[in-house]
Amino acid sequence: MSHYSSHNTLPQKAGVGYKAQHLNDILKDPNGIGWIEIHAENYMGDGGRPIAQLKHLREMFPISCHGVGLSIGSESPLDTDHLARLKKLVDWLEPAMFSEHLAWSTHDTGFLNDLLPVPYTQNVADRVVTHIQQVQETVGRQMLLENPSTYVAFAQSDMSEIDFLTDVATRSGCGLLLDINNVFVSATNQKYSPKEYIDAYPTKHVGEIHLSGHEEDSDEHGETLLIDSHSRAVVDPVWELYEYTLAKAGARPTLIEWDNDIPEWNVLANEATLADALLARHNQIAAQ
Amino acid sequence: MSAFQDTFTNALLDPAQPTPDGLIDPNGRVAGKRFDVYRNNVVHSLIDAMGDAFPALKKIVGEDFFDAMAGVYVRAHPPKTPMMMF
Repeated sequence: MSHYSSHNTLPQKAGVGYKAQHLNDILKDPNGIGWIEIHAENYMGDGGRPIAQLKHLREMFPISCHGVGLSIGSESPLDTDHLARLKKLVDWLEPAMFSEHLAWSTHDTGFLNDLLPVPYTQNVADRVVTHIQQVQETVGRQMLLENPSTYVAFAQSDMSEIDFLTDVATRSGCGLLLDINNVFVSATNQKYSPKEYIDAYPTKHVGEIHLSGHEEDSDEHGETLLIDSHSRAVVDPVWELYEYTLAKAGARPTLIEWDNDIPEWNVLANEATLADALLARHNQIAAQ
Repeated sequence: MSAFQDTFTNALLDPAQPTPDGLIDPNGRVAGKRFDVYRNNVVHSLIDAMGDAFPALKKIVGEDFFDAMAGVYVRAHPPKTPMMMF
């Protein structure tokens, strides 16, 4: 496990999710950005402009490689062709972090392009551990597993999400990616306290934090239903939960994710600046 | 065990099917609209991906027609790999 985690070298600063339309702005003023995160599946082709851009960016910034298509929660075996594509990417990119989701997205029918939920049971944990071990052995490094945003619960679940993640991280040797917006979305949708979730979370495993925006809706009974849309700014209660997490867990590399209704660069950069300010304030308090 | 993700997938792609058994809200009720969030995410994200892959066609037939046509297509033929090659 230790030789795996030694590859993970993201700085304790704010990073941004990379969007090609921001490339010129980033190149104009690269100093304000600690690191960038890319979606692995966008760079698995054999060449072309996306890979040329990424080869340029990797010389300028630490890169976090975030997979969205491994389908680690799948009941079927992992797609070995896809794993091979991932290995090829990680081998040349040499990212400062690799992460994926506690979710499934592939089925015999095809790729469903969403992060679909799994029940929290020992059987499912066993399967997820096996899949993570296969990923880590294939790419030769530790991965981080991200907590999901959930809209439904499973009647068959007999473990909490925290117990499930703790068990999987302990047995597989993976680290965890703590998505604070996902905590807030899931806690609201499933009616538990987000702070109590953070209190119980195994923060020693956390290698990276995600922050993003969500939309608010309601279900057919009039209950609040938050949608993890990555389409707007981080809301104040999520910033507060982030500060609460820093106080408990310490500083971690923190990503601003914005994947839909993508704003002008300065709007995204301002979110990263705010995260950096909170990280700096936390470090000041911690040093006192 | 593998039956569950089959049922889940079939219900995602066919809005006429009911919410799969065992999916609930925090009060233990059937998660109707909550399951629909996944349905919407899957179909709309795949329609958007098709729009990105066929921008000229989308311009020719118009967004409404393209999205309706792509919706029918992606429910019947979701992409084969996570690289979104249709």
